[in-house]
Amino acid sequence: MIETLRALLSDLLVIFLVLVGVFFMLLSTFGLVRMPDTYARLHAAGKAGTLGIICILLAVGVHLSTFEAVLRVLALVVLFYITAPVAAHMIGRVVWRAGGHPECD
Amino acid sequence: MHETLNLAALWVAGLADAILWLGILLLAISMAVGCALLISYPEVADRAIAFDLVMVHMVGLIALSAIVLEYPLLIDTLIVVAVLGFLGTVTIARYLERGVAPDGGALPVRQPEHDGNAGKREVLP
Repeated sequence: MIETLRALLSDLLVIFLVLVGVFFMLLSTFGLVRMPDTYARLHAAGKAGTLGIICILLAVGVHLSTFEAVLRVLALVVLFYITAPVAAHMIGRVVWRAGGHPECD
Repeated sequence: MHETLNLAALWVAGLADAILWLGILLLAISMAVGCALLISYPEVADRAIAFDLVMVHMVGLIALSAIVLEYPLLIDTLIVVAVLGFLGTVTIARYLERGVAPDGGALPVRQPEHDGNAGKREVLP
């Protein structure tokens, strides 16, 4: 009884997290297609993509729900949280130093 | 009560499976669009952004596969792919920031004295 309820709730949480994650990753690709400018593309790909991938990784942790899997998933979430802004900042700095200006000023 | 709960759990498990496969399909389409953008962009910085996006989609696809296949070892693969994507982007950025190509040629990026958007700039209404 308790096991069935636990599986049901875990599946519901996985459904919610996967839907949110896939939506935001599609949104990041759409932003990359739609935006006119390198800075705006960085904005779209950096933030929406990070939120989407963190939701999908949390879905993996909820579904597998063993200690090792949750630990690795949390390490991955922290890794993405640290590395995604660093990568976006480095690309933006390169474009700025090379003389790129935003499209709308 | 118990039978209803069992039925609901079975139904939700089937729904979760369908949504996972749908997510894999959508992510694959999105990743194909990202690869097309990666090829079609003329400037290296835009390509670096598209490369980062494709690697993030790779991580998402492997994560959904780990759920569908019930295979926890794929999480180690996730860590490797995530670190590779970050290092690739940082390497491209460092290489561009150095300003000179290894063979001494010009880099395919806008130079400081040249404003790339000068011709395209418009007055906003």
